[in-house]
Amino acid sequence: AEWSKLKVCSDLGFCRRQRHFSLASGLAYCVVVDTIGRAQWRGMPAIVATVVSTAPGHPDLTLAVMDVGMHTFRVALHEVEPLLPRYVVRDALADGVQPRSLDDATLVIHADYANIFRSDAPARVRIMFDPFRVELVREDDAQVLAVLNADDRLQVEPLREKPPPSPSPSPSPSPSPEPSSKEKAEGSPSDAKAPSVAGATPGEENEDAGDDDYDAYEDEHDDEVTGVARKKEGESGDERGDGCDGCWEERFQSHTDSKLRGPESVGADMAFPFAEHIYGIPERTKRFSLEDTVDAEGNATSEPFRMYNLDVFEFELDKPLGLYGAIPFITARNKADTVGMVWLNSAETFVDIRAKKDSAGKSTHWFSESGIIDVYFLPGPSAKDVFQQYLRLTGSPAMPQRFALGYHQCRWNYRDEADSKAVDAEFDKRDIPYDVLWLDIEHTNGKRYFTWDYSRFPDPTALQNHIAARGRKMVTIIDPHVKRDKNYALHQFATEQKYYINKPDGTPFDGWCWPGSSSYFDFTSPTVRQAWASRFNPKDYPHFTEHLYTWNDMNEPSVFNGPEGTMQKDLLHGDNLEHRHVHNIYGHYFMQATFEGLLQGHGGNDRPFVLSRSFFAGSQRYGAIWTGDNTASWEHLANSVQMLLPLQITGMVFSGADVGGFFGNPAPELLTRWYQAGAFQPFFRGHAHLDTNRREPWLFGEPFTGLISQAIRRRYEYIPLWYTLFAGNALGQSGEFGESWRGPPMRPMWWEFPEDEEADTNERQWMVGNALLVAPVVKEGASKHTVYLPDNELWYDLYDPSGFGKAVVKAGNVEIECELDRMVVLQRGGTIVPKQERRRRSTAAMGRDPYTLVVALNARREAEGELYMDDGKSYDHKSGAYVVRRFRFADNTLSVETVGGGKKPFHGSDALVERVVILGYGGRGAGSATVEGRTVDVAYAASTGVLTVQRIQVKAGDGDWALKVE
Amino acid sequence: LRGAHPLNTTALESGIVCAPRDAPGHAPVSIPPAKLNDDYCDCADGSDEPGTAACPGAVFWCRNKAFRPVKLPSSWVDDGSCDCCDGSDEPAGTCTDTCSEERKKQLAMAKKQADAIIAGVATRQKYAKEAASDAKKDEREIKNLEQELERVEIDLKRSGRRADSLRKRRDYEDDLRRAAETNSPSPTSNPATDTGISSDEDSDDGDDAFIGNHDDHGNDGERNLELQTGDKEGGHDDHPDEKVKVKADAAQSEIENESKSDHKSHDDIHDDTDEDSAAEDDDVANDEDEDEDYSDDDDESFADDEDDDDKCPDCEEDGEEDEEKANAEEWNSDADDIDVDMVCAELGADGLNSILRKLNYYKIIVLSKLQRLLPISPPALIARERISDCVEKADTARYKLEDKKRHIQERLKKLKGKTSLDYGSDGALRKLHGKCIKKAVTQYEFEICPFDLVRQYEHGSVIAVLGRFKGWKGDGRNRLMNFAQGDRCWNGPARSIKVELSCGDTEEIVSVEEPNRCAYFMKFKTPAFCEKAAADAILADFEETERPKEEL
Repeated sequence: AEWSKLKVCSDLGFCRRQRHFSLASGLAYCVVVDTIGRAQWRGMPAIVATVVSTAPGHPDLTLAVMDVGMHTFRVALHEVEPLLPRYVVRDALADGVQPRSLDDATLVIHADYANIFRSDAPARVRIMFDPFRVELVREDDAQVLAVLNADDRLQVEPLREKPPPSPSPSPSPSPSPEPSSKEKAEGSPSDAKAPSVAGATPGEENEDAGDDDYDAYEDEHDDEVTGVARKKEGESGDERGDGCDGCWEERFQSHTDSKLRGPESVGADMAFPFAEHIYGIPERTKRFSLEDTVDAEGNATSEPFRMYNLDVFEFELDKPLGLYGAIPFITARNKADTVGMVWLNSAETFVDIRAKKDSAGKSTHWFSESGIIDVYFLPGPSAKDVFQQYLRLTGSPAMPQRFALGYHQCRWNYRDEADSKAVDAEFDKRDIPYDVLWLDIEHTNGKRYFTWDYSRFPDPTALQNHIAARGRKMVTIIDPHVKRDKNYALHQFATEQKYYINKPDGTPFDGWCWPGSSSYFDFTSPTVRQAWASRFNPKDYPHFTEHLYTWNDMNEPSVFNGPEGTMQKDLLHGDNLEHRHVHNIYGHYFMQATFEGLLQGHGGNDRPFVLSRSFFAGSQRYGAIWTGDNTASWEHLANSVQMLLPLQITGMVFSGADVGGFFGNPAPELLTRWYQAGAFQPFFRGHAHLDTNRREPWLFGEPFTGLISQAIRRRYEYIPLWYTLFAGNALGQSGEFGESWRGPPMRPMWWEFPEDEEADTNERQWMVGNALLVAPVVKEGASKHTVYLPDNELWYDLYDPSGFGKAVVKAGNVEIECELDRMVVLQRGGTIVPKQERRRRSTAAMGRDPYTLVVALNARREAEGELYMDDGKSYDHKSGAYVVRRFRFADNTLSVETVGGGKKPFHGSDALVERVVILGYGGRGAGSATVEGRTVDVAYAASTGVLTVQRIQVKAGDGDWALKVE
Repeated sequence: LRGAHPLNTTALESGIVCAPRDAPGHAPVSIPPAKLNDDYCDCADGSDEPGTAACPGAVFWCRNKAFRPVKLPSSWVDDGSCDCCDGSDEPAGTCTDTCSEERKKQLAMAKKQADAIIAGVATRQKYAKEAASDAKKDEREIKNLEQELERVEIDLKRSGRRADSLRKRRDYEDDLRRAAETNSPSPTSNPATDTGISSDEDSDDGDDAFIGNHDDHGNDGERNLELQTGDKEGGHDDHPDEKVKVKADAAQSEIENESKSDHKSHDDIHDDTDEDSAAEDDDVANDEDEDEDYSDDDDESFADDEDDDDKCPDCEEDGEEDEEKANAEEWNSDADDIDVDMVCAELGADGLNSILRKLNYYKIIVLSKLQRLLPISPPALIARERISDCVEKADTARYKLEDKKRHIQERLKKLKGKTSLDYGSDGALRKLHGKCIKKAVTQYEFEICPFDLVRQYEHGSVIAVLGRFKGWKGDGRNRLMNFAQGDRCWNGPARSIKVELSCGDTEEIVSVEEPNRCAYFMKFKTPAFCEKAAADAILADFEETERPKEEL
């Protein structure tokens, strides 16, 4: 139902103007050859050229190619001299991502093309002159990996003066509202409208425009010279002065977008001639391998994929619309090659995907409402490489504290102090571990964040201390909207300091959200972010203790009475930056500000935990996200995998779905299955809507309570694995981790099995690291479950009712009995997984608990694995208080070495390895084992062929020791 | 042995046999003392590591010498949190032994609690005693009410009949009067005769009650009463019983054949009346054949009629003593004389209804003819008014009786409902019936009327009924009072509330929560839920400090 309230392509002028646009047939762009050369682009070293089109109305473009390191090329395109400065995305990329000097790169200009390459790069950039293309070409075999403008869809709408009202045609009294019918949305090519050729030619008419303005616009908070103000002078024209479709004003429902800057959309196509699958561009509910939206003939078969961050109420499945966050990054691949591409633009963006006619790969078509064409090519060649290149570009995920990987208990809302304590106590009573108790909006005084409702929570400090007594934490919610209450300190502060987003008239915007009339901090400003961060202290936030962390919701931003439930695009950040340019990155900025707040508020050496609903490329640097307000249904449980896999491969690795489903009441069976799946997903939180029935794990009786407890406990046994995987991403750039420990913790099957075609489209199961295959049951009443096991591997069934770690002899689609007590998790031969099998109340008590290493032998009777250890909470690892250990099993000997850190002790560094469990040891009988000359006990389970070496009692984090099994 | 069951320590110290954890399916193995509490889990059941956290799901016993043993999950052992009062769950030196203080504190608390329970038990006994006598009182009342109800029902029937008779009499009188008026200018005219006949037939029809008793023998008296009332109120045109009407239609042709000439000149208004009369005549004929079946009914009718006569003076009690009245009385007594029931009673025989009817019929004919011959006498008119008055009075009496019946029935229903509820073994909870207890919780007030309903107030006025008592849920001490079908939530379900009872020295709402939307939960204290055993159990916990309790 909600879907119908959202815009479709035909509701948006720029989408109508871009979607079916093509400059083919002789009018395409070509390079002005003698303009190619090394030059500065916005002060950065680049190869620059001018690209022109003979078609009227298309501005000359500046092309800039840069090398930003990690073999990643940046390609930028925009008008040579725009009338107004265009917005260039900032703060998404990691600090220090700067174009490298191209002095040592080679630029060779041929008759028809130019090559840019450097000796250490696996791929070169080739600029084709006529028609204009930018290609990424692999050095080894000259394979073309990606082609920009292969289909001549390059279109930059020039910024222009608003034409004066045309005198002759009688002013139509009906500026008919934009068509919004779905039929039209399905987009026959006929609704494509080429932009009007009328209008000013940029550059010629405005001598002020140029690089200076660019900078000015980028630094909009510091400089008032800009476009909007200037534009206002020529405001008097009629609505569509130049007859341009939806260019000067747009209406949707009761909202009008004033569009003072006029049309400025940008679009280009990107072909991947080798690719069979495209993955990425979260967040939506479509298939993981993105389906074509346009057929090979160019006819639209569905809406294009949309990226526009929205709070979609009760979102539906299998829709191309965007949800709460957007990451404009795709991975294109087949079984041999992988290429990544980032379209760095924070305005509303659409992507079409189509199969090329002659089965020559996939073509994508990207267009954004404003900004510049700013593309990053990540050459791979493997998915792992693309991922590393992406993290280098946008930053490593934040290293979470260990507690954040435990189980989170949330509900909208735990009513009061007594309720919170009762829930906490019940976990203890049932011996179910959990780490964090959450408080939703009702804990505040009238939805004034940074406050407490003292009638319900008379002593929040005492409550936090009570919860923390067993090592647990609390999280409270803080949203970006601020209640417009003149007695509310935060509102006073923001009003005095002018920290709010403004209406076009310069007064603070007020929209409707949880507290009623609210204003929104302008987090795009570094000053505002710092001011926000400074509020995380006990004076501005009473009862802010060391045990308290933060949940950022509604940061799309959600505005109940705004168009599509968000902000008007013509609102102003600072004096002139329109919201349209930064919409998709707003939530990211909010998360960043909160991260800074927690970092400062906790004294600088406590890793922040922030959960956000909205996100953009790079948000992984600040914490976790969840997939928003899902529903308690089997379909949504299945969909959680589809939603999480794209997030994983686009860097947003700390992500999860609300266990049980936010809306509605899950049947006990569904809830149990959801816990079983969620226990093996990165962010593991139970959450529920205010109107739902209580559903804490113990409320459903047996067998459900027991099975839910079991699922949670299994999560805790694997905390060392999760922690190591997160460390591999967060800290793995140092090269101390093996390749298999760098990559999303929750991996698509194809990540580990790129040559297995079955794996390409499998979105029902995943790998945790390279070691565990998880295939959750997502069907009601299922007693049989099909799991896909790639061939040429040995698989050990960890929860086989007939015995732990029994080898599965079949491969391919294997049917497994799966009564409700059965979780389908298998360990892959060749891996060693660290576990902590002691049951604890929370991760805090696990720091010094001994480890169990589960060695799963491959066909060569070998295996390998790693373990990362640190104190679980601080940044002391930065000064060496951590250790990375690598275990290898070969020739019946398990050996260990330190591959990183190990120079400073830390809490838990003296923990022992107590057991080694060898899966697939096989029928050789019990035998014996020695560790450093000591004979240790072994136990052999004949039914499963599992050998357990007992009481090893050697340090997990220190010393080189070897275990020999006879 | 650390963490071992206090009674089991010595047994453990010589080693144990258990199923091995690391080799599932393997035969049990013996675990030597050296491997007990060695921080490695050998046994699948965790029995070799009572004092460490090595075995997930194992049990740790705190000795708590100065207090009483308590068991913990092994996950709490050596986790940095002091959970045993003797501190034995953490490494030595981590925690202080607080057991004696804890014992003192808890004993004091327990004593207080036990005292409260004992006080409560006394109150409960008082409740039970009072409740028993209340119950007896209620039972007596029920019995009395039932008897009274019986009486009222009889009176009601009688008064109904009385009113009907009077009404008939009045109608009859009217007819006579009309006949007289019509006849007086020309006493011999035929139309007058016709009217007279018509009147006769009306009168005849007026005996519906009687005839109906036979006709609709399957129905009870009330039904007949309704039928009559309908007739009276709606007029003869609106015969409420279709069945009768159909019969009447069927009978019509016969009648027409028989007495076409007679009916020819009837006014249209009277058509239905004629039909009814004819139908009834026909029924009467049928009844003759089946008289035996109705003998019982007839007996009752006769008996009632006798009572009816007794009641008759009621109407006349407030009458005046003047001449007019005397006349009226005369008329009344005349009326009584011609009351068919009377006739029946006098005849005292079964199955003579048709004869009675005919007798009555002829009597009326005779009377009307007689009337025609005489001028209307003023006394007769006055008597007629008197009869009207009587009708009104009789009706009022009937309505009063109906009211009374309703009240008795309501009271009976209430009492029977009250009596049929489950008030626990000694019935002490009965004392809560009819009580209401209120308490403010946050900005609201909640009020429980046990066995009736629960309400929520804001600013002193009711904002919602949270539920109406629907019985108990669960068993024994854990059972809850279930109130459901309260006011519907906006966009949600009907409110409901479950009430958990516990022992307290007086009735009090302890807490009200809304764990699920519109589904509330109340804790409520009352002495009626106090048990001495509970007090004993609380104190027993402190008697033998060495004896482990099975429960945590």
